[in-house]
Amino acid sequence: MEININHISFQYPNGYPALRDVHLNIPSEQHIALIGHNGCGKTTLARCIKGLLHPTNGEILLDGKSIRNEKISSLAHKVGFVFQHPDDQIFHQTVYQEVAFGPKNLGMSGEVQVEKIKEALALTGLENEKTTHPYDLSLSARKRIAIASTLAMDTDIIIFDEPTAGMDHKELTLMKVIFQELRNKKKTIITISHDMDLVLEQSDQLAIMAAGQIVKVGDPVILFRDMEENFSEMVAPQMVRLSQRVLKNNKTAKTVDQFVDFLIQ
Amino acid sequence: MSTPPIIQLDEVHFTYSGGSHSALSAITLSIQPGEIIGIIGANGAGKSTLCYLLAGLIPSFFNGNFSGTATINDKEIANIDANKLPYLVGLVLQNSRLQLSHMCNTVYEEVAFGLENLGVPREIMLKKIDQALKMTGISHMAERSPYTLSGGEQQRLAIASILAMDSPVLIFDEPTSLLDPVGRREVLSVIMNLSKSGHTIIIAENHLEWIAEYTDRVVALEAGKILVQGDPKEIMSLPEIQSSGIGWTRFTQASALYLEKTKSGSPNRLPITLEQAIHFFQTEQGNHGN
Amino acid sequence: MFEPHSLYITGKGTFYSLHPLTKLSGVLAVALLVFLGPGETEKIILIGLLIFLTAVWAGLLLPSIKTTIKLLLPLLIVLVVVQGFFYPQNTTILFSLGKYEYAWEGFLYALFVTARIGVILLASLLFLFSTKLSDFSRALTISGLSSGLVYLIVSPIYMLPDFADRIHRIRESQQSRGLDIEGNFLVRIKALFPLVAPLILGALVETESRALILETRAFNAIGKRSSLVEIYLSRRERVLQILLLTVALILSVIGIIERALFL
Repeated sequence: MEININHISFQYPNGYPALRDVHLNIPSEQHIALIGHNGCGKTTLARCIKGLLHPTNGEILLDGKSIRNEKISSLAHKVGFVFQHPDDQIFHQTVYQEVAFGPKNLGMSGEVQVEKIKEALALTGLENEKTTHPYDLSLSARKRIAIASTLAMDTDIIIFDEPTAGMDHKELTLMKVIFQELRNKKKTIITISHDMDLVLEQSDQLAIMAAGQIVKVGDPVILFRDMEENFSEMVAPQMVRLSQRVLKNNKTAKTVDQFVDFLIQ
Repeated sequence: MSTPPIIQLDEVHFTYSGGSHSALSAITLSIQPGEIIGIIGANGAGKSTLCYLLAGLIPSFFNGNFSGTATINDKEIANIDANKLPYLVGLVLQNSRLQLSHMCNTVYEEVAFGLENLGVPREIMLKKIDQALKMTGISHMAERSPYTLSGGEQQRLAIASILAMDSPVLIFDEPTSLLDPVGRREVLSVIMNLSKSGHTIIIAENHLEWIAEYTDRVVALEAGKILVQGDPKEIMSLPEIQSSGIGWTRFTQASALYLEKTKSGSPNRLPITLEQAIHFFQTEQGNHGN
Repeated sequence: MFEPHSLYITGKGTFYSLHPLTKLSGVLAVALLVFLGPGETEKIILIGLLIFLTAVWAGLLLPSIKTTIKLLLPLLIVLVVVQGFFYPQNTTILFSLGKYEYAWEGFLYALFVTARIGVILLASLLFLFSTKLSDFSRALTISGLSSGLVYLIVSPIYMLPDFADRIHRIRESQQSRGLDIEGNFLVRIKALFPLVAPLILGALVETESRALILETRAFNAIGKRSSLVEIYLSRRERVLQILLLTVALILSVIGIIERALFL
């Protein structure tokens, strides 16, 4: 599903301008990453796309249709949002019920529901925890429950807010598999993250935000390659720094595999 | 190693009450004054529990089955009373907001909170607070409400609050995992400064590159046991680090993949840090050229 | 965002330097007198005048009046309309709208009820504006209340903004998963559980962390505590506190008896 963000601004009731004339095109099936310091407007933008906030000016179109007058509950059929804190949503007795909450609200038919939930649980490595109480699991496992509960809704657009915060290596690997699977399913993905290594590896497009504006949009490899001069406050991803020192002709690798391929060539 | 260790753990086992398996088992570890020690491990491997143990919260705060010996400054941790413990060891946790006492209006008062509880006389208190604020770089925020600070600032406030109580040993349980890059950098640089000023630092972190670059020694945990410990720049590329779910830095991953694809003989050690990796690839390419 | 602990307005003077418990005694005395003390309108005017003068003395007249009006205006409007039309003792008709008649007695009664609440509110605001919540908690500790009890009283006030934040985040999370909370009454009732349950579960999970934090900050240390701010209770103020409360109590008893006899 294509997302057009058409010159939107957003002002909080206290007058704070969280977004200032943001214009961005997210083509269907693309994975875009939003980066920037806390308070730069990333999550406000994501909340506008999800319909939780209404832009003060401008509008957002999904596949050409404005979402201005759409109810949040009906927008939930199109846009999923994985929030940062899983404990803000978990309340069921079992993992399975928790993951079923979204699909049920969307009115999915029984069979489809069962299938989607099964799939989501498998992807998040929770298939053996169906009957476990969510609070008997660790925080990072609860985070996976939150991810599963959004995946099971099978929306065309999925927004992730800091999906990997607090995850260990195993869970990071799992997250990569999830992103790949969503790609196969032709989903449009928006990821907000401080994890530059993840962003470089996973995103097709990178938008850098500061003070409520998008200051740069483009190919993550190119943006990160020039990172030192543009955004001295962030540390470039490991593969970018290694590429710059080892690879010739200003080549920059996105992933470990690509780096090795470049090197052997 | 002539100086006596500041912390000594011998054959420590611990199971939380109600827990089905031991959270820590056969932990033997000795920490020298002034060392900076990294603790790594997959989620659930026991990093937090080890932090709680070192902070003197086991078995007093967390009930359970404890055996073995754990000492700070030669004193059995379990026997140190609540009034003395803060003078020996301080603990900083992950969630900066939750770490506020919720009893204070200003940053200054927040730092005073622990000292007031300990009954420290007012004149001494004022000195300690100023010093702690200075060391964490938040003196200029002294009169602000703690609730208006950014995550990184709140985390530095948490450090100041512990620091004011003068503990020579500081324990950090994933202090930066919820912060943005700026907050992360601020907090980590405060921690490095504290290390330089002589504090003993123990830090659990998921950020492997930072651990490799900045700690003197790393302790890798797997399922409550010490998997391996030693110089991070040497041990963090061991195969068991990868297989235990801790993972390798991308520098290690890249070199391992390179060796696999070029079928070159494996070197003694895979690189871990950026500089090591550059050296590794330059040498490899040099050999290739010959 | 509204932060209840930050109601404090920086200031100086004798009123500010009164012991927090003296000011609290004053608020309690006012509340007692307003509801139970003898007399009706004249009593409210007299107490109102006293508080007004106190506000001037404290240098807090403007903010306290402003806040009182802001909080009470909606109530006043509702009461003036409702009581004007429906107060049972209405006789002096001022005007009529269709078959409804608006009366002077109802109007006066509305003013009286609002003034009663307004006087207490004004007194409370003077206390809140001139006392740091943290100093109040210190005063409670010094006066001999156990630190645990003080924590139970004071910390929830500091936690309110966090709580409000969480409620907001929970609503967004559940709405994002398709929960409809914008519909009719029945829809809203059904939506209540998914909104309240995570709040309670989350608070329970946080309790352990909070206890842990207090432990690391020597909250459970035994022995005498010290205080960053010297909160000194003079003998004169001690007497003043007792006097305020005793006089209020005696007058309340008189007021109760008076009403019992004449009604």
